Amino acid sequence: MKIDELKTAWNEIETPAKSAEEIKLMLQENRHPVLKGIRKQVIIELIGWSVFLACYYSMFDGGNKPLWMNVLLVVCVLFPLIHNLMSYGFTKYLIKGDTIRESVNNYLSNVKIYAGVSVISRALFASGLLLFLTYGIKFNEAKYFSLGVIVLLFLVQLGLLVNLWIKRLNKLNAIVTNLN
Amino acid sequence: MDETQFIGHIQQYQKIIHKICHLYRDSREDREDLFQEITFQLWKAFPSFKNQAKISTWIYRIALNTAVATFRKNKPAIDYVAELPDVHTTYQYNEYDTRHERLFLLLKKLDDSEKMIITLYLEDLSYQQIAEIVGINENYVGVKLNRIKTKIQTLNKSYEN
Repeated sequence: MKIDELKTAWNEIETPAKSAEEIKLMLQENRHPVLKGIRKQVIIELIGWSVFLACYYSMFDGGNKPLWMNVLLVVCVLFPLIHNLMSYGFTKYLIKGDTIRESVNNYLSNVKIYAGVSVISRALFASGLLLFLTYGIKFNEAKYFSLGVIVLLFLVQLGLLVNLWIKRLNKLNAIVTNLN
Repeated sequence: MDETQFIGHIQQYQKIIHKICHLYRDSREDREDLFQEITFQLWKAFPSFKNQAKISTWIYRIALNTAVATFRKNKPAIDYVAELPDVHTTYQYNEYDTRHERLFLLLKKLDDSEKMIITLYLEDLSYQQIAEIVGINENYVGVKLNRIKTKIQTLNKSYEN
């Protein structure tokens, strides 16, 4: 297949046709595939963590723990929620420049910050929650083992998250590098 | 420009958006999502649209930018069909299918930045227009296109052998 044939084939591609009504629906924020997912996640997390924060004081002996520990737990729970809200605004505006190179470059800088916040907020959340739940516990061998397993699970999850962001950053980095 | 005019422009240029979606995404669902994402980003970027650029140039830029900057979902590509066929059928490929299948087979082997440049080239844009959209100089567009053409020819030969 020569380049001219490639061009002819490209120009002959038959594509589906979207109606004006279908396009109009696409302009609505509540129909956006990613934003819809983030919104759903934020709502579920908000409900879940509100229930947790309403119950933890009695269920997990919040009253027997120092005030700073209770504050720390609330802050650690708020971090991922704020991060999700941040991702909403982040996803909404992708275009950040007058050329593709400039836009991808700027976007990459933002993704780096966002990825850092994502990993830090997840780590803070996990460590804050663990600290709260284990505060005042008298550890024996079995409890240390359980704690070890939980920490390992959190670390694996964190590792997967780091890996995901590395892949995404590499993808954007490759575009920027190839255009320089 | 109001919403009706904007929708009119999308309808007029939707063919190129569909082609970009086909080039950058593999499953039908992902392509639909990308089409929606591009339309949404065009709408959001519209207030900053400067009239000195042609609307088509602007659409190419935002569409390609969105295609390379969005992260696809990590899930297997499954195309759901309404009904299962009663009997096994062998799809007969015609010349159109074969050529287009080969076209995308070759183009999908390129990296994201190469796909971007070849798309604009296949759309008959001049080196100057490609340079303006991508943000590189005209000479570099020429260099990149030569490399891409060579890569395509090599890939093509390997498929023919």
